[in-house]
Amino acid sequence: MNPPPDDLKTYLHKLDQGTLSPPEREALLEALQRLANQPDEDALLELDLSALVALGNPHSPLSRDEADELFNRVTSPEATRRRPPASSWFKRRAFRRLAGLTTAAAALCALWLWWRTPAPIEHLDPTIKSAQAKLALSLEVFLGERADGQAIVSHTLKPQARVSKEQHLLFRYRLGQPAWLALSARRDGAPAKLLWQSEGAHQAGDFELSNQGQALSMPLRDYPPGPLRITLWAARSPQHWEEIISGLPCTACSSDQLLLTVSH
Amino acid sequence: MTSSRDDSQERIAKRDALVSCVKAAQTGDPCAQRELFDRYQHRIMGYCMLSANYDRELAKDLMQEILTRVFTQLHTLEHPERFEPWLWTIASRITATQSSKRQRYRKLLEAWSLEREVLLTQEDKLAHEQRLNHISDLLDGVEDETLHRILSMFYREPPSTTRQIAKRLGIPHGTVTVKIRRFRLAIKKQLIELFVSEQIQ
Repeated sequence: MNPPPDDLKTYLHKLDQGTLSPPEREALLEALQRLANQPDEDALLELDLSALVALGNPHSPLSRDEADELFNRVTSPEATRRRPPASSWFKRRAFRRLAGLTTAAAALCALWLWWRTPAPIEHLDPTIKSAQAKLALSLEVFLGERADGQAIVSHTLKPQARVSKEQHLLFRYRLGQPAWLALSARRDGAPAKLLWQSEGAHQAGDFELSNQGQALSMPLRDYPPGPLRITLWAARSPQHWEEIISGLPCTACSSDQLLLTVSH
Repeated sequence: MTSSRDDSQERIAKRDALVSCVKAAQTGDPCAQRELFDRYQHRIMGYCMLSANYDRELAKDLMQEILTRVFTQLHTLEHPERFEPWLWTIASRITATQSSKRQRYRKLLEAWSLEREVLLTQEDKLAHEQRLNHISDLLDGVEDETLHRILSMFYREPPSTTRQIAKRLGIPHGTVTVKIRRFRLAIKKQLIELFVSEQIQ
């Protein structure tokens, strides 16, 4: 196998060492041009192109001071933790980075405040569902009437339906996955009232809300006339469920609600 | 003949010296680290200048980033003899985000780095795939379906040997090696032409 011509090897070596003079640089380019025009395949294959990338820096190799400074930066213990900003780097990117950092800091503060601020159930927006809240949940509310001490379903209530103080409400729900449940009622200007909470995780399916096997019946006599919001909450874990019970916000929870109007 | 033997011995001596230097640098020896730095600083700066379209300040930033990564991760390099491919893999990964206006230039550089890269992570594997696509781009003008298939098998993971490729494609082994050799030559020739024309401009 033919090695690359000696002059080429010498020039490449000098190029790699940063000691190639301008005339030698010209000679190197000429030699390379010759090799490309009349390729000696063996010599070409043997040629270490890796050194050629140094040609990319034709006029301004790093000065000794620049090289020393760079070496100290990249090998200092701080290098593993933080990259010291070069002045040019700072000038070029400072504003963009600063804007990014400010936004990130503001978002973190907002997140921290939101997480730390206890909100009673009445402050919760039940429509808030996070990306995690994929629990399929639906609540059906029925109007019930008492007959022989038993609450009997009369008909399904639609949103904004009017109900009277003498009537009762009964509930059914459909759950896509096992979850911990809680039911709350809230009227305008008053804190939410926890009506019911599950004892452990409920299995998925279509169920009537009940207490110890007996259908949960909610009398409306305790509620003054006005809007009444009934919300069923579902949590994936007991921890999230505890948040609901304690009146803390739970964006990882699912909910379904119905707004009714209580009349005289 | 003698010259060829001398070359070979010289190359072995250089490789052994580099391996010793890398091993010492891995232990934190500052002299060895400096030696590595000096050995590669011109190439890396040249590479960064090309990647940064001759923006010297940007090239210095890239160089700092590459070398910081190299020195902080050097202890994880299991095979010191693979230092140079490892270095270029890191350089290629860091400069990949610099969208070179000279796409063809970039593609050629990446085709060249295929020969020397080390696959480190999933990210590198994706980059490797990208480079293979660039090879396909470079070969677009070449009406040689067999060459396309050979290169695809030769560079893809898991890599196949030339004998395996010959067997799989049902062609003589010599045809496979000749085609790979010609492809490498073509890439080198194009790179040299680009390097030279860049410098003359």
